[in-house]
Parts: sequence; structure tokens; C-alpha cells
Amino acid sequence: MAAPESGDGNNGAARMVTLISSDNTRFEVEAAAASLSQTLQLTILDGGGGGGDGIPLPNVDSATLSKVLEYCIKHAPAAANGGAPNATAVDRAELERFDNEFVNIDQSVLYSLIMAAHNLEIEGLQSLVAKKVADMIKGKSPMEIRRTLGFPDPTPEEQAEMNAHMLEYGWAYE
Amino acid sequence: MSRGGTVISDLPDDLLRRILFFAPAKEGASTAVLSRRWRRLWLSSGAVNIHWPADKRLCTSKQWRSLFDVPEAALAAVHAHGPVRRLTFHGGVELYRSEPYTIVAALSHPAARHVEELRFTVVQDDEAAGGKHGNKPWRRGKYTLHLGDLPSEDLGTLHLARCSISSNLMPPPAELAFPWLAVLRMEACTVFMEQLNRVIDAAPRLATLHIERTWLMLFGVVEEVVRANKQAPWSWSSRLRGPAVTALVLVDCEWPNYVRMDLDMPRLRYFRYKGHVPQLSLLGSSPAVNIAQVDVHFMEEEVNNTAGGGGGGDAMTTTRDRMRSFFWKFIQCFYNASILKVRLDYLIEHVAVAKEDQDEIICPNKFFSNLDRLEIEAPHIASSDGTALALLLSCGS
Repeated sequence: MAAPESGDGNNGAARMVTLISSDNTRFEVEAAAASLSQTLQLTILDGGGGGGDGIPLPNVDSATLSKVLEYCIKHAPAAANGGAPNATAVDRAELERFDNEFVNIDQSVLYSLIMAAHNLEIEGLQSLVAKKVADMIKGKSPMEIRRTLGFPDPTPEEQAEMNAHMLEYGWAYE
Repeated sequence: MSRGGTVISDLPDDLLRRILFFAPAKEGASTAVLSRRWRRLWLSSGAVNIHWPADKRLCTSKQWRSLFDVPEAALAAVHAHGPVRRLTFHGGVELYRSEPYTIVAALSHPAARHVEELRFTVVQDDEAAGGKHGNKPWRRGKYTLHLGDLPSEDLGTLHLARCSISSNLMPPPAELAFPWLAVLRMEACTVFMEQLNRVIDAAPRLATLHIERTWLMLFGVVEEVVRANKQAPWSWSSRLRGPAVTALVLVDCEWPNYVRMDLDMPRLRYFRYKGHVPQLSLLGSSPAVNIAQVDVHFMEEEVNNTAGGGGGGDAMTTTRDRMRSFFWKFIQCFYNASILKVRLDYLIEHVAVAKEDQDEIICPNKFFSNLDRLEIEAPHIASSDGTALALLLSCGS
């Protein structure tokens, strides 16, 4: 793979950083991939994460982190091109295919992912998961939405509140 | 959920709003009854996404009537809790057409005034798509949009799919202004070049212009003249302006092949083109000084046998000659590019230039001296000597 043209004066092997998950698993990744995270980018620019140090991520477990990094590695080349649309060696359609496949996972994993993306400030991943969850409720009735998102059936009190709400926002329940 | 994984209630309000930002308005609004915590989340999501069915046969008559109440009601509800940043419409073309006032009313609603992202997506059921327009189903089933109806103050992103921009009811140029518009994306649309340029002129910050499967028309009068004369005036040209455009994508677009497209985009850095080999040129004193990457994918052109009425072989030769000449004119526009990717759907030999024609076709001062990377993907005849490739390579060295 060709080095990005606006390199940081690093002509040899790509710079690597180490990330440490909450359960103490170490992940070694290219700095360019980890830098998709705004939070990590700052640390990396300060020279952190190299050598034996590693950057501890106490809020992200290893299963989630490996998924997050899978996303970052795939999206890093596109991001390296200044974010210009399509200005990348990676085919846009191929990225779309990857994204669709990537979020085709259990709900609990989706929620862990969006939390991690939120903590690490990975803009694209947050939107990707948010869209997926929004799609899950598309075309569903209020009751179906409850069940889809794992809410228990309403108590009589909640039911009364629901009815009041449905009167106020009738247009949403036709 | 009982397995102890993360559940949706674990997410902070910010993230839940972010999810609801993409949810259709009806479903979004109805999440208010999930629990007390959700009561105001959608209302403060900053988005109204109108999601109509693809086909009116999918709704009962009661649903049908209520569909058109949603946009205004949803806009008013969200507006009461903060600015509406995103407004989208998605649905079958009948939905757009049957109550056109619904959309106009939504766009002129005070809540829509500060919208930053606006999308119109017209969908079409597959059955209708296979109709008389054959392999160009995108030519039909469009919603006609009036430029003057769009909220413009804060608009940053405009996506249009299967829309056409109306030629009448254009506001006077002075009144059309999209001061923050940065991204314009059109898919399967129909637009007159003149109108497209009007939008671009009104958008001094437009950086990304993405036009796909779109029919770019010249004013009807020109087409009439051409049809009447039965002859193509090869000197016709049409200008596509873009003073701030840095990324241009033209994929599978159509415009009359006798019209040369003059790109007036002095800041262009990235250009992707897919389609027939067009007549293309770059305008400006130092064309394409900024260009970094060019991706082109040329398709085989159908030979027009109706012209002249002579032998098919002649028509074929004419078409090939034209394609070859256009190819080199096109490619040499981007002699400053550092990355050039060329993909041909036809034999690379068809772009090869005979020695005696080289002076005529290849411009001597347009060598690719900045080229870092060249990718060529094309079928070729195994035994041929690869003149075309050699030419490109000698340009690049």
C-alpha cells in the first residue's frame, strides 16, 4: 500500500502504537488507524503510545476494541486523504459494503460500539451505528419499537401516560 | 438482553439523540412513550426525517390522508425544542406529487429556515423501473423542485435523488443565495446546465459536487436546432462552473455527445469520471495546477449507424477516431495530476495513436511530469505492441 502523500516525514515502516483495553489486552495498530479517534490523535501527536508504553483505554473492553480497530483500519486510508470524498485508493462502494456488513451484529455489540466510538470520538463510527439503530425502528409501531429495543411491556401507569401522549402527538400514531 | 450485554438504556442522552437524528419522524416521535427518559429525546434530536411509503398502494386511505400532516406537525414539535438541523424526505414519487403543497409548506415553515442538511429522495418500485425506458429507468419518476423554495440561509448539504429542478419559477439571481452550501449531490436527477450553474454561482463555498446518473440538459432550443439540422454542431460547448469546487464526481451522466463540457474549476483537486469518453476541457489561465488525483472509467460507445447511412464500418471508424481524439484531449487536461487511474471497458489499442498522427493528437508540452502513480486497467490484444501505454508512460517519466 502506498504511503499517504502528506506523510509526517516517516518514510520507513508505518508508525505503530499500542492500545490497552480495560481487560489488559494489548493491541498494536498503525498510528494512522488509531488517529481516526480524535481523542487518541492528540495523544499520538504528543508522541504517546509508542514503544512499551501503550495507551490505556479503561472504558473499552477487548472485544469492543478489536471491533473498533477493525473499523479504523478499514477507514484509515480514506481518512488520510484529507477526508475528500472518494479521494482514496479504497473504492467507496467497497467501503459501503464493509460498513453494511460491519454493523450486521447483535444489538448489545452495537451499543458497546457506539459508546466506545463516543468515548474515543470516532465521528464516522458513531454515525454508522446510530443509523443502524435508527433503521431498526423504521416502519415499526410503538409496541414493536418497545420490543425491538428490549423494553418491558408497559405498566398500567405507563400505559395511561402513553395514551395521553398519543392524544397530544396523534400524527405519530396514525 | 438478559445476557448482561450493553442495552440501549446504558447509552447517554447524547447518543440516543444521535440515533433519533436518523430515525423517521413518526417512529422517532413515538419513542416518547418508551419511558420517562425518552419523553423529550426525539423532540431535541434536531432532525425531521419524513419517510413515506414507496408506493401508495401500501397504505390504507386513512394512513394516506394522515401522511401529509406529518411534516408540518413534526417540524413544529421539534422546532419548539430547538433548531431543526436536518430535514429529509423519502418516498415514492406519487407521494411527492399528490400533495406538492405539503413539501412547499414544510420548506417554508419557520422551523425549516435554519436547516443545515436537506435531502430529497424519491424512490421507485422495481416494477415501474423496468418499463418503457428500458435500461434508463432513472429518466422517469422524478419530483420537480423549485430552487426558490429551498431554505438557504444555513444550508450546508443538499442531496437530491430522482429530482428535477424546475425551469420556471426561478427566483431572480440576486435572490438565490446558498452562502454555506459545501456539498451538492445529485443522483438520477434531470437538470439544465444553466440552472446547475445558477445554484453553483449562488454557493461560493461549494467544495464537493457529486453528480451521478444525471441527465445534464442544454436549453431545449439547442436540442431543437440540432434535431432540425440532423447534424451535430461539434463546436457546441457548455460550461460547468465551480470557483470553490475541490472534488468533482461525474458518474454515468448524460449530455449530448456533440457538446464539449468546459470545466471552470480552478481549485479542483480530485476528479472522478465514469461514462462515455466526453469532449472535455479545463478553463483558466493555468488549468488544473491543483489537481492531485484523477480517476476515469471510460465506457464503450454505441456506434451510431443512423448518421450518414453509409456502411457500418465507416460509422465505426468515425466513432473510434472521435473516441481516441477525445480520450487524449481529456487525459491531457490533467497533465499536472500526481495520481492518474484509467480504466477502459474497451481495448486499449483503440486509444493508440499512429506515429503519423502523434503530432496532431498528442500535445508536446503536456507531459505528466508530476505523476507519482499511474494505474491502467484495460483489455488488450496480447500480440499488440502497447503503443498507447508507452505514450502514457513516456508522459509520466
